[in-house]
Amino acid sequence: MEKVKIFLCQGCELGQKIDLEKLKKHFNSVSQVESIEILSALCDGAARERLAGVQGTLLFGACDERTHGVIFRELAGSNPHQLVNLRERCAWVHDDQTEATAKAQRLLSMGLAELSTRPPDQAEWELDLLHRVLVIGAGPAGLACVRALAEQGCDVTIIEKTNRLGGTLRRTRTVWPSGEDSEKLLHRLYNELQDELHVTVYQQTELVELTESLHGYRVKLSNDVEEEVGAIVVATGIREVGGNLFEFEYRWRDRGNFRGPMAFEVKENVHPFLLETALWDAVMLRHEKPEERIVFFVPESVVLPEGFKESAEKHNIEIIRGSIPGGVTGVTGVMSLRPERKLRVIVKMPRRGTGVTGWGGAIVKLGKLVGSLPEEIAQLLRIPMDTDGYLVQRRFRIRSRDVVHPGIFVVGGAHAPMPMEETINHAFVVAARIKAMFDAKSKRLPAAQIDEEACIGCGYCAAVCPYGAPILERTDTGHKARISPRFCTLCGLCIAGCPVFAIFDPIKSSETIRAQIESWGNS
Amino acid sequence: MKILGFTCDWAGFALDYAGMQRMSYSADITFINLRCSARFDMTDGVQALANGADGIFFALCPLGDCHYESGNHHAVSRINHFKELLQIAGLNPERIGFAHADTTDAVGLKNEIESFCSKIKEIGDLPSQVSDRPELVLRVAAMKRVASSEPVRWTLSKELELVRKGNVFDEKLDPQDYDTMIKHILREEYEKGLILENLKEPCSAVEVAQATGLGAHRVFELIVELERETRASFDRIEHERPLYVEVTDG
Repeated sequence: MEKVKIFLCQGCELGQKIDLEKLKKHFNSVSQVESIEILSALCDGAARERLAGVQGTLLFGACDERTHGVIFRELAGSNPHQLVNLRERCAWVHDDQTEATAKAQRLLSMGLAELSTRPPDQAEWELDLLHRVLVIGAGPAGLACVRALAEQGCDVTIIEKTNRLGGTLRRTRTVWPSGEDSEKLLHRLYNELQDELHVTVYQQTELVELTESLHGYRVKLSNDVEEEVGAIVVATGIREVGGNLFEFEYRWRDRGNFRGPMAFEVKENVHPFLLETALWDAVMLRHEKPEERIVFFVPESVVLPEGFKESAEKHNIEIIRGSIPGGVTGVTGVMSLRPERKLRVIVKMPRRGTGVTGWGGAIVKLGKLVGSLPEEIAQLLRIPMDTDGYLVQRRFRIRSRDVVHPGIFVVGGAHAPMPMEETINHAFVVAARIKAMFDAKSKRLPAAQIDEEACIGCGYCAAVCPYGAPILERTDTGHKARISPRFCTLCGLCIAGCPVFAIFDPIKSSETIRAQIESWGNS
Repeated sequence: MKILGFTCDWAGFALDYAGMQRMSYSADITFINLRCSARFDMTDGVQALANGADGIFFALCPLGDCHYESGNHHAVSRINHFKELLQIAGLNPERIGFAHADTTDAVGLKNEIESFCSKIKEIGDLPSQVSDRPELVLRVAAMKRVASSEPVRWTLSKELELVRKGNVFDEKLDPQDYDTMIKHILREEYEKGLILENLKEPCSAVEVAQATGLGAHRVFELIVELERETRASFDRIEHERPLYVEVTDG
């Protein structure tokens, strides 16, 4: 064990609150310490001059890692170092000088213990990503993301489940809330895409297999193509269940004009996004047909979005609240907008005694919106889903909103329904993030490590990890766990729970914690 | 009085924040930073007791707000079972305390620390409570054995999974039943630990019973079980009494 050089900071009241000379006297007699020095401040130029060229293991007694960590990393250079927070954790919270000094001594000896037990820096895992991206889903989000990535010179492969590009955008008439024509927007995205050389498009293709590789992920597609990519973008969007608003918009766009009154039947579990979109449609219908009746049948349990009522009133759109026994009858399946076919909509509203009968028009059902990524593929990507099939954002506090695991991104509606503009902006943001990730120097990721000999393959770690980092593998000597460094956050849940102590933390190992406790007890 | 604190990185923010606002709290408490509170291992707690901690305090994120998904749920269950272990060992479980603190909740955390420190002051130092120190050492050694024993670790670790998610047959176990089971296992392992501590030298069941304060019948029962687990073995017969000894690895 190399001897440690300690540097103490005198600034920020540390000098007044803590008896630094006493500390110096104490640590001079500790065998582990080579020298101890008190500087007027560790964050100024004088300290930098003093520390230039200093070699060996360094221990700083100063302030917070989060606020001043960078300064100390710079000061230490390539030397192993440890920063002990004597400011917020000691000097600023304890008024009595003797007590504060005793605590500072305790903190410093715990720092020494941490330094002496820290394993050498070999446990980290280099992340040198391949500049190639796989985009799943060729909807607006996927197309926008592909375009932005291709513009920046990344190779992109885009796979689409159906045989046509465009996703939801292909089915809608106008874009909510900007009112832009969907077809125009799609063509804009699509035409820009065609000019790019770096893009490969596979239609009627799905992701079949995903394994980790050194430079990213190795993917296998259903058309037997195998590729290695540095990042994956999930842009699978949304799907309508129990409703036909998109169908209606598609036909409206396709056939143009229609005749007769309109009924929007709102289901109990309607997504507010659909309500907004339907109102937007209704307002545009009102502009086309100033005289026709447009009615929303809304169950009592549905809470209308803010401004919905006012906007409906303004455009003379009726809202009828109340439960409709048996629902709106008379129309089954997909409505028809053909003027020659008369539709009968019979609505029984016993509570009000009034109903709308004898309509020739259309009835649109507003149902649920769910995420459209199949569950198997979500499992493949190790992204958890909520009950509505949306991809749940994990560790949203630690990483930004679009990153699920390092290198896997979720864009647009796959998170939750969102307006088209937001979707496209989100796609651009993600593209920028991917590019930034590629351009950054290769990163080192620390991860928990498994002692293969000690591992009994009980599967505890694989079951408990919220990120799915440990994987159980069959080997010649029975099942063994393996931790994939990219998914590990090093939270320590598996480390503390392993029945046979087979997992260890390369940064703060159990030995370190034990040594810290011991040195705390001895001081 | 010495109190050891464990804090997760994010509750540690609140702690630093308290420092920035120059709040003052007792200097008896010293914190160790863990990345997540789920990193807390019962062995560390026992280690702290062995190193003279009069109290152990945990600062963790509010439930449902863990920065690692469910880490603090696991931590809380571990802490509660650690309290149970203390009770079984005849120590005051109030020596263990924890507080949930948001990253900015400096005032709340400071108040919790203050009240915990004053509570420990009331309860008193650990050695002064137990009449003779060697017995405390024995207890802590037995607790150490409990904390690192495989069945205990396994049942503790699996608790949330079996109670909340269900087992392979999709059966959810009753939380109270599971808790009772853990208590039972903790007690049994603790008693076994006490016995093993006394079996470092060949010793008869009656002598062990006298040393540990457990009934002779119970001791004999547990020794038989330990023999079956190959953790203890028959050594020789002396004065017409069989002597047993702990089996050490290698």
